[in-house]
Amino acid sequence: MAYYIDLIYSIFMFIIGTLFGSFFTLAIYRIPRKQDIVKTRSYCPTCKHRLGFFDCFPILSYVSTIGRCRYCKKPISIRYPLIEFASGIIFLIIYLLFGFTWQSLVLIVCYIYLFLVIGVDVMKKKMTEEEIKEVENNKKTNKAGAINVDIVIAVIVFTIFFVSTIFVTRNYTTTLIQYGRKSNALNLCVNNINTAKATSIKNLVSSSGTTEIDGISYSYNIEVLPYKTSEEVTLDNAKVIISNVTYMLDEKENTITLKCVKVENNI
Amino acid sequence: MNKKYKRGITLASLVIYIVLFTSFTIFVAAISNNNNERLFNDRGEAINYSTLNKLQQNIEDSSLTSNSVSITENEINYSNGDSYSYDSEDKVIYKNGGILCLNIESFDLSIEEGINTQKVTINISFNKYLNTMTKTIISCVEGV
Repeated sequence: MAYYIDLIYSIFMFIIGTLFGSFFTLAIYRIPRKQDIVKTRSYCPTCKHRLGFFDCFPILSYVSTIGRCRYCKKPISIRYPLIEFASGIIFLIIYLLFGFTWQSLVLIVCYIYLFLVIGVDVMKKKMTEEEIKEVENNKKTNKAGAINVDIVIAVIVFTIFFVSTIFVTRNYTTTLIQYGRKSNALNLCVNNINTAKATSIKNLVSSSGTTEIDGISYSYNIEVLPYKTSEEVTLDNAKVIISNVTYMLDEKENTITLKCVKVENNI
Repeated sequence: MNKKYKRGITLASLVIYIVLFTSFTIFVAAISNNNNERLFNDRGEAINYSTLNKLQQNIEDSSLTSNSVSITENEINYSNGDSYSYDSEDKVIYKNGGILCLNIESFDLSIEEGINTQKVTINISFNKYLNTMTKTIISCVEGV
C-alpha cells in the first residue's frame, strides 16, 4: 500500500511541476512585457488567439498539436514543453530526495523564484526593438510593480498545500517507527521473563541493564520478589518475577511490563 | 533595426535536448529506484515485525498451556498438542499443519533442560521486500 501511495504522490508532484512549468512559460513571456499574469488567459504569441481549456494541458497539448498552434498553425517554440517537462522532473526529484519535508518546500520555493528571475532576464534580452517600444508606449495600461506579489501569493497557496502533506506523511513514518519499537520491546520483555522462568530459584536474582536493537536503546529491569500467600507466610519455592522494558519514542518514555510467578516443586 | 533571434529547433539544439533528456531520465531512474528500495524496505519491516509478534504470541500461548516440550531439527512439539514445523523450501512455519508464518529464511532451535523447566531458544530470520530481520524467541515450559 505504501508503495502505491508514494507512486501516486510522485505522479502528483510531477504533474504539479508541469503546471508550474506552464505558468513559468507564461510568466517569463509576459513579465518583460509588463502584462498581467494572474487574470488574463493564455494566448498564442503569434496570432494572439485565446487558448481553450484543452490547449493548456502541459506537454500533452503540445504533443497533440504536433508543436503547432491549433488556430494559426504556426510552430510553437520547443521551450514550452521543455520547461514544463523540466519543471515536472525537478519537482519529482526534490520529492524523491526529500519527500514532503521542510527542506523540499524551501528548495521548491527557491527554484520557483530563481527560475522566474533568470527566465525573465533571458526573455527580456530576446525581445525585439519593436516589442520594447510597444511596452514603453503602453506604460499607462501596463501591469507593473505587482509581479513579486503575484509570485508570493502563488507560493503561499502552494506552501499551505505542501505543509498539510508534510504532516500527513509524517504520521505514516511515526506509526511505523512506533510499531517497530514496541515490537522489539515486547520481544525483549517476553524473552527476559522466559529466561528468568527457566532459571533455578536459588540462582534467580534481580538485574537490570541496557541493550541496543537496531540502533535504539532499550532499558530492561528484572525484579525478583518473594511470593507471599499472606502477610506472614512466604513460600521458599516460589518467586514473583517482574520484567520491565523501557524505550524512548518522540521524547516520551514508554514501558512494557510483564509479571509471573515461578514455582519450583523439586527443592 | 530589428533584433533577430533564432526560433524553432536546430540540429545542434535537438542533440542537446536529447542528451539532456537522457541524462535527466537516467538520473530520475536511479533516484526512483533508490526510493523504491527504501519504500519496499519500510513495508517489509512492518510485515516482519507483524510476523514476529504473531509467532511469539503463538509460542507463548503453547508454552503456558504445556508442561513439556521436545524439539527435532525443524520442529517443536508441545505437550498440549501444538506442533510448529519449518519447511525450508517454502520458507513457511506450520502450526498443527496450517500455515502460521511466511517468508522465514531460517529457523534454528535449541533446548536447555533445567530443574522442572525446559527452555527453548528459537533463532529466526525473516525476509520480506528487501528487509531482513533476525530475532530470538525464548520459550519456557514449566513441568508439573
